[in-house]
Amino acid sequence: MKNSINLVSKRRRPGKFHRRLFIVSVIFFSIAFLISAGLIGYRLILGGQLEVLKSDETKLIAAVNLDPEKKVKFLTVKERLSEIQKILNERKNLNNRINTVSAVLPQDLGISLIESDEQQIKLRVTAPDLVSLNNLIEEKIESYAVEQNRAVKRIEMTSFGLNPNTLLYEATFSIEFI
Amino acid sequence: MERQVKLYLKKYKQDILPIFLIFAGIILFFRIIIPQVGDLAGMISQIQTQVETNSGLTDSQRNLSSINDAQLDDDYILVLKALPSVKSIGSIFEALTIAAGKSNVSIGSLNLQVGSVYEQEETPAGKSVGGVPFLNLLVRVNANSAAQSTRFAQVLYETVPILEINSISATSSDGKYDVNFFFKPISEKSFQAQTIVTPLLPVHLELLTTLRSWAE
Repeated sequence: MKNSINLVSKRRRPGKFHRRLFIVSVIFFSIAFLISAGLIGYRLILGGQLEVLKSDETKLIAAVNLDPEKKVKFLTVKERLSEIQKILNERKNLNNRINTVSAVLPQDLGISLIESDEQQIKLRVTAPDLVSLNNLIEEKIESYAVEQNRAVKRIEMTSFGLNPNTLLYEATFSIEFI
Repeated sequence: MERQVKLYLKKYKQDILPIFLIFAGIILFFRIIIPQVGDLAGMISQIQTQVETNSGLTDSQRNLSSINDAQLDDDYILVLKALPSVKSIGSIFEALTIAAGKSNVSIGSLNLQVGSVYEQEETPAGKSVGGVPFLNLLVRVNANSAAQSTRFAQVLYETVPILEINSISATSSDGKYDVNFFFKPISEKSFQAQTIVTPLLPVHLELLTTLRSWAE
């Protein structure tokens, strides 16, 4: 009587490739798992911190607004000062131009009219003789006009004559600015 | 059937387990790691902002408590005199009278363009400089010389409420001035609870000193 007995196990023995694949997969999964767990933990810690900070903010806001009138006053002062500073920086100062023009006039000349706006100055001067006016036209005006920072575009003499009432010579100049 | 599955699993366990682990790792990577990294970056930025806000609020608290109440009241009155919150004809007239006195001229006439009773726009176009509205006024003064009239303009520049002169016409007997007096309604924006209170800058302190000298 013969019985056939299969002595080879039906179970497959893991080969070298399978062992390596298993180790790699375990390492890969472990790394992914550890990173995930770490990130979740870190997120929970940050969430806690954020909650604490928000709660601090609420307390601080309450503390800052304990005296709301004082805060409003201070903020108003600051805001107004910024606005005032802006206006002072931007506003045109016509007097500066008038003063620089007046400064170049010879002492014996009088000013009977000054008209000034942003673009121009109209100036009427009076003189007892022609020497002073000549000095003004020949020298002073030119030296005034050539200075770059004054931004003079054109200087025109619009009228000239002798006033029969005052017996003074009168000349009117129009100074245009760039 | 169940027995067959068990046998199949047992047979291919060495193939299935690594594949399952790799698959699980990939899922962890795409479903947890990548989204968490994005969320964490957002949270860190949120915490940084919150820390800055809290730090600003702490500074605000410290700054507010260091302010002298009496000094603050004086500064408040001064800045509202320099830049009123409403069209203040009374303070304008007072400023003109003081300037006239300082420059030895007398006020001849005043023509006010007070404005319409109601306008939909808060600052109608053409009636503001840098967003600050103004009240236009034509002033005529009696003077003894053109120089005296320009002196009046110079005094006006150094007075409160702050103003801008659009044009000057000065003769030996009188002066005419087209003047904008500035005013600005108080902004609601400044009064939020979260607004940080920072101390006045040196430029502000310097300006306060200047305004105080102009207001004298």
